[in-house]
Amino acid sequence: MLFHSQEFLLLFLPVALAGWYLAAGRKEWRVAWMIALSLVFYAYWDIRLLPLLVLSILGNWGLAAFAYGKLGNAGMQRFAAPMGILLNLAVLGIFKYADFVGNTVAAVFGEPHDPWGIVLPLGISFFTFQQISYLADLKRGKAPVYGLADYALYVSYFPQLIAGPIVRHDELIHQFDAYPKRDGVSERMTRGAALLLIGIAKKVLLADVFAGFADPIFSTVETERTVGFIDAWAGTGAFGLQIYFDFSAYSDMAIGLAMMAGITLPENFNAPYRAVSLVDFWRRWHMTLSRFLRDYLYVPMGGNRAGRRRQALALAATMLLGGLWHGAAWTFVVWGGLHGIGLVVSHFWGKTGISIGRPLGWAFTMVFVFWTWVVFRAESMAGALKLWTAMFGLSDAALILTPEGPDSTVAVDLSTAGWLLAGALIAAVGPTSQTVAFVKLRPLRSLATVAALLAVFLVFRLGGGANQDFIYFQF
Amino acid sequence: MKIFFGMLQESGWSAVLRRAVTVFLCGFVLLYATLLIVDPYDTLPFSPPLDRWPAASNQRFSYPAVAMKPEFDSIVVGTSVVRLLKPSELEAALGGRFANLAMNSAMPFEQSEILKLFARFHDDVKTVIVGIDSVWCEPKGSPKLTFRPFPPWLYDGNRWNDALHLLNLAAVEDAGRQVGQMIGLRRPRYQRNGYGNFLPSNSEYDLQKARNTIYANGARQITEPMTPPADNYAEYRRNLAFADMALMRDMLTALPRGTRKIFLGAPVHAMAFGPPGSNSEASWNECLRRIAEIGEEFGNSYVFDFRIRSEITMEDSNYWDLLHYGTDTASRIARLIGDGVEAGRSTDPVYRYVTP
Repeated sequence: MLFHSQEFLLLFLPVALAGWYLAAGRKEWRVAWMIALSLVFYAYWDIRLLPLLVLSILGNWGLAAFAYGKLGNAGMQRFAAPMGILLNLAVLGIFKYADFVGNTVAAVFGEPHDPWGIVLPLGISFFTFQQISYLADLKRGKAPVYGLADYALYVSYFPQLIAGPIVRHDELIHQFDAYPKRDGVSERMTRGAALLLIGIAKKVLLADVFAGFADPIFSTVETERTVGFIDAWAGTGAFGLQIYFDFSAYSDMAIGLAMMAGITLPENFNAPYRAVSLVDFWRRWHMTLSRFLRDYLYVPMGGNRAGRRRQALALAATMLLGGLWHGAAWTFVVWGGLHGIGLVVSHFWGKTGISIGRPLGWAFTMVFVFWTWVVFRAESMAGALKLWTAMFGLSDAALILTPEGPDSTVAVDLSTAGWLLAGALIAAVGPTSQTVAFVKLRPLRSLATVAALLAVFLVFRLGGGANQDFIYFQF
Repeated sequence: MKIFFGMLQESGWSAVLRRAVTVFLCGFVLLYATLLIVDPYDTLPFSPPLDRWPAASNQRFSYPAVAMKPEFDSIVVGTSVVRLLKPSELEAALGGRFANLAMNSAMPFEQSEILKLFARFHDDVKTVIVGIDSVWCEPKGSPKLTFRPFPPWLYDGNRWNDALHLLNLAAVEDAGRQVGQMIGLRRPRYQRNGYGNFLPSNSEYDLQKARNTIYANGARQITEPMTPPADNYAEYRRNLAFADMALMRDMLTALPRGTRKIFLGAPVHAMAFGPPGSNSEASWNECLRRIAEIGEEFGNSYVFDFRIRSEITMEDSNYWDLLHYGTDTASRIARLIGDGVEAGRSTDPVYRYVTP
């Protein structure tokens, strides 16, 4: 069930909120209600995947409760968390990377690989990472053993289950104790609903429109055809805007939905296309993943405490793995690798104290980020190379080879350019959704009227069954 | 000014939330209720009896209501090449009360769905005309659907669940059209029997414009016969497969035993079919022969092939483009179908009567 679907907005959400607030006075009831609803939410996609989520929750909680609870001892605790982390990684490996490894090994031996047909469970990367972070914190003595219900809701809580934000146990679980009807409930409901509305509008009116521009360009380079210079940049620009509006829209919806129930989820995007360096970009883009990678990969690998060479290696390795986390394909590894190299350069450039100025820093960062989106989006390395060739003006194709062919009109191209410009301005200059909903929004009844009418329009706009999945659902 | 500043007057969050929820619910209920009353696709069992016409420009949405109406006992299905067959002229030639529910670029699946819906709502189906064109004769079968939205919920025979599918902007737009048609602000595109003349008026006809779509360079050409004709003609035909014949059987099974079935190879321009003696000509002929075979199994069936070189298909001025003949030709086809059915054979060199 997509957040931006009628069944979610008109049925699931009102029922979920009604149950949550009706059971407000009894924590165990409201938590049980939200777990049940979250499992229904997950099973709605494919009920076959539900046992994996449930087993994953029970397995991780069982391990934590046994080894780090009353029965546990120091010897057991030394191995339990690492073993749990390995098991989580093994599950992720089987479901997400088995075919990728099979393909790679087969390619090395020059053999074809028949895919094993393993279904990638939705959100596995997200709920596995959350549980790994919990086990790692247990091992460090930074996490308590929670009750099963609290833990189950922490992992399965539907707003963040499928595509994040990747929430830490100590950010979320204590909030389940808070009385939902405490002071400010109307404000939280209103601000949360506003953020949900902004997210839906971003997804439907921006991200999906940019997808319509980018998809034909990226499909063309996977065929024997190629694209021209302007199309290559337009397609890349469109995808860069699509992925930003798509993923940040999902995060807006998730954070807004949680806020409607009185729960605060961490910020995931902070105007990343305003970043003036690559280090700055990663502080603003998918912030909860960056934080996870920093705390559970980069720092344990030495971080900045073990010399510059070690730090550079840690950065590069972190980004390589971060790239691979996004998807089981070499294109993601290359994307992660490029960002690793970029971060090393950006980081050590910062240490030299030489400033190129914010505007130039912003321009370099954006060119690099958008240039690397090509390999992130491309279905194959060959397709990415073809698009990069076109971006450097080395393609044989005409400047503009629009998907409609030579008969396409200038108006279509101008309209595309107009949309891209508008999207770029919103992304680079406009306030972030959270600033609008959580800071700038004032309690004006006139605004509520306009927003409610926009909501009616969007609900009808979502009908018809053509809603697009979010890009990050595949990760 | 006072009003403007009044709008910027802050109030409590609970008042704002109440306003938002109230406006949302009122707006939603009002819009939805309007849709249920207007009933843009004319299928809801509880909508008030208003003077509705087919409203959606996509016929896949407009025609189910026509197919369910009791006033018709005969139907035309197919693609745009049979859309110009006028129900009144078919009635004069064949009797019965016709609805023409042929849809632009309709795939065999879509044609079979509308025919099955018609059959479900009519115990006595007198005549069915199936316009046959190349979509029925693809070796691997045609795609199930086109890029045009196809609403399966309008074809399930259950009018009650249709209300759930009106929560979208396309339905709002079609409701606007429906209201416009009801109050006379908008001319219906399709008549109540589904017929709609999609051609511009005859005064706008431009032969050269038509030729530009018929011939690659706009200049008249003659298609030379294949010399020698394609090898292994008979064997080639024997080995041909037409995957959608299964759908054809399925569609005919839905009809009452006594229904008269007329399969019409529509007369597209001669440039649209292969040269004489070509494999594509063999494939077309074999496809119609197989249809005649299936028709014979079900009984009371006629296969008329107008897609032959004739004074219709070789005369450019009969056509608006490569596929679409004019209304005069359509009237002639309707008459000839009537003659052919009555005679049980071809009555004019412009068509052939196909037997198994």
